[in-house]
Amino acid sequence: MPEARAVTKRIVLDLDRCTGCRACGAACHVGHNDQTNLVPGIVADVAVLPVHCRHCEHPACAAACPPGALYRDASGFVRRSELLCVGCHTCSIACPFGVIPDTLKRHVAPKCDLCVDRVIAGGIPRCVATCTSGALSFVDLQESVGSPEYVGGRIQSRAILRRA
Amino acid sequence: MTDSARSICPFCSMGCTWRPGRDPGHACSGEAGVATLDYDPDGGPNRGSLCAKGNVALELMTHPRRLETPILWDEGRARPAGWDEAIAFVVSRIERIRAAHGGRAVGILLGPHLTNEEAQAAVRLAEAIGTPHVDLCEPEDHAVLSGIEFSGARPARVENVEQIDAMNALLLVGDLLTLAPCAAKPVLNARYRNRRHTVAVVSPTKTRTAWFGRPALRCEPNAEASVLAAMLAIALDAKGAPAPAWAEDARRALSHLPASELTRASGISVAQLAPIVEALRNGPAAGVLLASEFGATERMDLVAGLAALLAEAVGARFLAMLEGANSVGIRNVLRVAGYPGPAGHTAPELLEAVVTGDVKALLVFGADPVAAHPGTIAGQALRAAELTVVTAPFPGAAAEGAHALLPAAVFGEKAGTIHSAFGTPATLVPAMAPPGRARTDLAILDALGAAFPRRAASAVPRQVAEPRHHGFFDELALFFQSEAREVHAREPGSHLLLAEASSTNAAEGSLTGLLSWARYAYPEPLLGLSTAHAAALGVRAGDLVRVRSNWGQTELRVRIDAGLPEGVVTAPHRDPAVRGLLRWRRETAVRTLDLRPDRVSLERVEEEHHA
Repeated sequence: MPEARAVTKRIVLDLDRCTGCRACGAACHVGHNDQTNLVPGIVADVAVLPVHCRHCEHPACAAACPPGALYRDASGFVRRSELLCVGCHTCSIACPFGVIPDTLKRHVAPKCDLCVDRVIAGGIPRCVATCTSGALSFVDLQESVGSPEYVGGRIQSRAILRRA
Repeated sequence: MTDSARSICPFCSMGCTWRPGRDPGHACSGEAGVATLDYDPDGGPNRGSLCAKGNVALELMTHPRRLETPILWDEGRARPAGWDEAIAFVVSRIERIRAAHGGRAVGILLGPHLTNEEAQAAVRLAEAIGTPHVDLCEPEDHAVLSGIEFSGARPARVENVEQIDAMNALLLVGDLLTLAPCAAKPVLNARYRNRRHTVAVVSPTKTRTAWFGRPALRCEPNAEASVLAAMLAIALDAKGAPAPAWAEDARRALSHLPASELTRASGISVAQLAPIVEALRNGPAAGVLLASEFGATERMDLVAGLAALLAEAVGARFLAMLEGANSVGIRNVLRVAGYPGPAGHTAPELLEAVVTGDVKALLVFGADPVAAHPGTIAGQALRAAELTVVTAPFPGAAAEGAHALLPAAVFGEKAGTIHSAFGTPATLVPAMAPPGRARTDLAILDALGAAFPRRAASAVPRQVAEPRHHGFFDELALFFQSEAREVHAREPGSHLLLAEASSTNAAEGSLTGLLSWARYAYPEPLLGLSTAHAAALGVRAGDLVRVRSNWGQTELRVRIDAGLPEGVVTAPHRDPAVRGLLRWRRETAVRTLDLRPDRVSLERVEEEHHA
């Protein structure tokens, strides 16, 4: 079996452009058979932003998962096995970014799979495809870090000044 | 179905496309079925995007509550029937009413999801029956389209999104990005392409669109018309400005709004407006984009007309984003055919005529007047009619009062053309067959039309509406002199309720009222209160408040909106209870029904807390 190529692209959010329309969440919900893997981050009454799983290099959720249902696959995606997950919520407590909701769907924890079905076929994740404002992009993380708009994490913005 | 099959999102007039596909493992994916939705990056004006509603467009076709069989209400009992029987039933009842009262006793209402061909078939049916009463039943769009027609403005239209991308000066009136979220891409492209681009937003509240305003003109509630009128006055007085034929009429009307009065009424000064008008005039690519502000401002018709006139005066392109997917196309078909002429009733007039008994039969195709006009006489009209025929994909309030309920198809199940807000025709390709025995409205209209002998066109009483440009400025002058503009004046103990824009209607019977994700994306209607207002009332975010107006009352949970002006509260008009709180007014000049902001009183509701 050929070695899976690591996918270095990740979802980056442009804070300047997000209008808070929640289309990304709807696309995720519909595309994953009514399981919403994308958490809306609600910033008081200011904004609603999508908060994506970062697919960490050393994922805390996977380290904490008792049955070993969470793992980092060959392409670098942190994935969850539907069969092994027992719905114990440990991952949602362990995740430092709060991107795994603690509400179960079909008895398993909702977890972003970066729309692996589309990405391995050369496509882009559903939330990025549906984004109404062009705020979400699926880009090579190394390129994003080099761009002047890069703020940190998975965020870019022209309006927010970077710290020196 | 081929690989190039495209379907169109029915939820606003943007005309977004998506690609239906088959999933071999899915139950709905048979020979005539579709099971997957995919994005269409190089298709329509959305460039692949779909909003929260568009993403669930597929759900309309596979929804478990779809109507699948004609239902007849005969001798006090409802019973399922076959199509032949249903058509014969409807035709015989229409014939009976026509024989007794003439063709004018029949009225036809068309919903915004019909295709142009279906609107044509409705016109043919109206000719065969001999009625002049045919109109579009979509209150939001009716007010906007009537206002623009009434103003007589002839601005250049925004023909595609690429023109918005290239704009360097934009004036946005209303909450465009909530009404049509997929318009965000081109608008933000224009805004971020150059730091000096003007993207002015006129809105009293901090809407999703106002967030991106540069500058955001936060006017006093109900002052949008004053702000646009002041901009129009600046544009007409500018040196070297072309003088449109209506300039003199306009100047006379605008003389009722001096600069000092503008500042007092709107909180916006001429000094703030002048550079925006200058930017729009100097282009080279400028645009005025209007979104329906249904229930958020007095006189949406005047706001729409003024926006169109301003676009013409400064030489900018104009776009009116509407709620109905094909409101533009249906209105075009009806206007060309001369419906409803001066002798015919518009939608609100028709509902009134049914209640008074002048019109006996109401044929409603693809619309739900009760869901669209809650708190008005619509429900009464449907019950009062001797014959109510409703075609609908879903059961709703209108369906409950129908003598004949005929199951209809949705977008994705029918072929035809529609016109989006850009005015360009788009073709609908059916991706699957309607469920059960449901039929397209075209098939239903053709079957009904075939039962009536065609008349010669000259035998049909038809009068083409006269353009009424001058009346617009008379109406405007009256508005500036009237007290209607003063509703924002502070009154102790009562608050002005402004409707927040929304492109969904949660009412039973409306397409979006049934969708699972639309409910999630717009979770619960919340009452927006300013921080000071909430403190005075002793409530915090999440508390329950009883809201009362002259027309109704409801209970809403509180959301704190720090930026709200004093004395103003907001709630989304998608909620039927909220629409019931607002004031519906018939505008005689444009013969439409408009939803207005209204005064409400608030009272905290004590909830029992269980440990």
